[in-house]
Amino acid sequence: MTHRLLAAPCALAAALALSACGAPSGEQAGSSAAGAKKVTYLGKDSIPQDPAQRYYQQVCMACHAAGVGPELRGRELPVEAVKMFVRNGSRGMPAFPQSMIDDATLDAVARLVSTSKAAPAVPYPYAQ
Amino acid sequence: MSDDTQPVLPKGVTQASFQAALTRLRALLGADNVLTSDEQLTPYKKTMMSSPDENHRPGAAVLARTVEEVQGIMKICNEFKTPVWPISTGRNFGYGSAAPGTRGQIVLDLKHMNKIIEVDPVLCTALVEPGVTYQQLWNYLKENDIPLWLSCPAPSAIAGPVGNTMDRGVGYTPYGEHFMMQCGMEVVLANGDVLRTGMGGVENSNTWQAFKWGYGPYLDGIFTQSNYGICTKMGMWLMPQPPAYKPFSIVFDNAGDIDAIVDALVPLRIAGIIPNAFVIANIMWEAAAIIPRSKYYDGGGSTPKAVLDEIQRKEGMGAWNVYAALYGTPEQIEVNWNIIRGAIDKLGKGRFVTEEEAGDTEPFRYRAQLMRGDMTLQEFGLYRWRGGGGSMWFAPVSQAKGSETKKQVELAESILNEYGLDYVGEFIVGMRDMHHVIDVLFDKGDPEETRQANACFGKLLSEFGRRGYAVYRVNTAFMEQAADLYGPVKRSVDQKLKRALDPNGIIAPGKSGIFI
Repeated sequence: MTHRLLAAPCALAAALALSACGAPSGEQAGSSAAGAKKVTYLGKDSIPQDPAQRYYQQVCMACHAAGVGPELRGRELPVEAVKMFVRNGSRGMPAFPQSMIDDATLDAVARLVSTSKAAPAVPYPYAQ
Repeated sequence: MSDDTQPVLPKGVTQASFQAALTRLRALLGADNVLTSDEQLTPYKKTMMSSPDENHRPGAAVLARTVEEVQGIMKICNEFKTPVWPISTGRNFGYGSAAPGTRGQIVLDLKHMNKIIEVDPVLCTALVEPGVTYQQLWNYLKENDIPLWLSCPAPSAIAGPVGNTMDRGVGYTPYGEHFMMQCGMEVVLANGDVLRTGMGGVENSNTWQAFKWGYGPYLDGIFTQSNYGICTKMGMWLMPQPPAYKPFSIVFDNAGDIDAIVDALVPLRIAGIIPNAFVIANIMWEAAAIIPRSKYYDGGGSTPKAVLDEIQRKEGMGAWNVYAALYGTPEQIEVNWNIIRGAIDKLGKGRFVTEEEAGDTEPFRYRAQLMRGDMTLQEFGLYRWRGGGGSMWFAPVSQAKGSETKKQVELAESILNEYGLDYVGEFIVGMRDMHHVIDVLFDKGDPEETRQANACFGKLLSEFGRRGYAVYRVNTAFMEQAADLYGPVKRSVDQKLKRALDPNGIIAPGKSGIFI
């Protein structure tokens, strides 16, 4: 029985894209000595110190690097467009008021999105 | 439909009173914390409900950070009889998001009231403010090497324990019945009094998060899913990280087996062999986590059965997909694992999937994360199933018995299909109940489909209601209809409490159908 492997888990993908976050540390998981796969669980090392990086990784990428929302990385999306989507929402994407992300942090996050490198290639999910 | 050229005022409040209230609020909170422009208010207006966003447009939004500020707000609201709609993180997407229940209310945004006041790693308790998100608390626990696990709903990272618990939401761990695991709260009442429930009212007590009930009438309950006060602190119990954790799935190929699945597994839940609030997700819920339905079907209306069969086959999913977990020492887990395997062997249906087989593939991964209180937003893939940003949770309660399942599934399916929508559902198994959670998904950008979804939701409420099945929670457009299901005596008592505690009706009028 198979389940498709999607884009790499959000934190790993973001870490590769941003090179700013520590490698995720599994608390109990990661590969066992016998080579059996297990679910990767994130730990302390996965938490970026910079507030904008943290928001980008833990909020934005949780949908946008997981196939839930559209891919944002490597597209040179305009900063103002990113801000517009965040403040207004769009269809399935909720809107975020200032209380949830202030203008300064949003500006920094939008720049991270705009200047991000494309995510590593993953198998096209529709490929048979 | 509201006319959006009219000023956005709450019912019964004049423009003059409203503006006067805003002036006083600016003096109290600072102009930066009183939001009135279109641009500032737009984010609070967007909802996923089938009722127009204009019906839920806030008149203004104010941000408060302290109990004293909330008390000051109550004073001003009483003077001008203008109501506030409190939100904590405002991420209750399937139930109304950050928007007020009725047009014109002032959103009281408590997101900035976000201190983690205390975590006790020995007693395994926490006391937090309303604006704390699960992600913030998760970060705090990890950064401080505190080996405690959270229990969060699927919106995890961006939602928060106070908001979720006050609306009696659920999670997927052994602590998944969140209000059961809540212990003590602080509430600012409409008259400005500050109530600490449970042991919290005792001066110098240190048992506020140790013991739920306190003395005399237990009051915590009346502040949940209601509008009797504004919660400014909430205590809760956290699960100690177990030495080992074993998430697993059981895949069932035949949709007709739902009753047998429930009858085989629920006794194990009741006996504590399966300790967590496990789920039984149908093919569409399972698939939606990782694909849009457009991968297999480009048409409109309900997804045809033949397409669902194809998805099941090609994606390797079940008609029903159980996700559960075991917690404890490896020895404890082994004992319970063998009991569960024995039960499934006896049933003669279902195949197990463990971490070793699934690894980091979805949807197994996100389920494994939720069942240990880790952060993930993967379940929002549901919003991509048909697209369009429309979603309302229809969540009737049922006995945790197989005989209850098929009729509810069939009734839901027939009503949803009548309106061209899909039965995307899962059962979340509680202590003796199941939350039969159904996502009424629709394209909110399509006016006709939105009308269909609106009519569908109303019919689901009434048809289930006629048969004795009522929802455990509902979105702000359907609060009246849901309240009626619980009978006139309940509504009368709710109203008496409201008049006693908030005689001017300044806190969230209409929540759960409660007005003065």
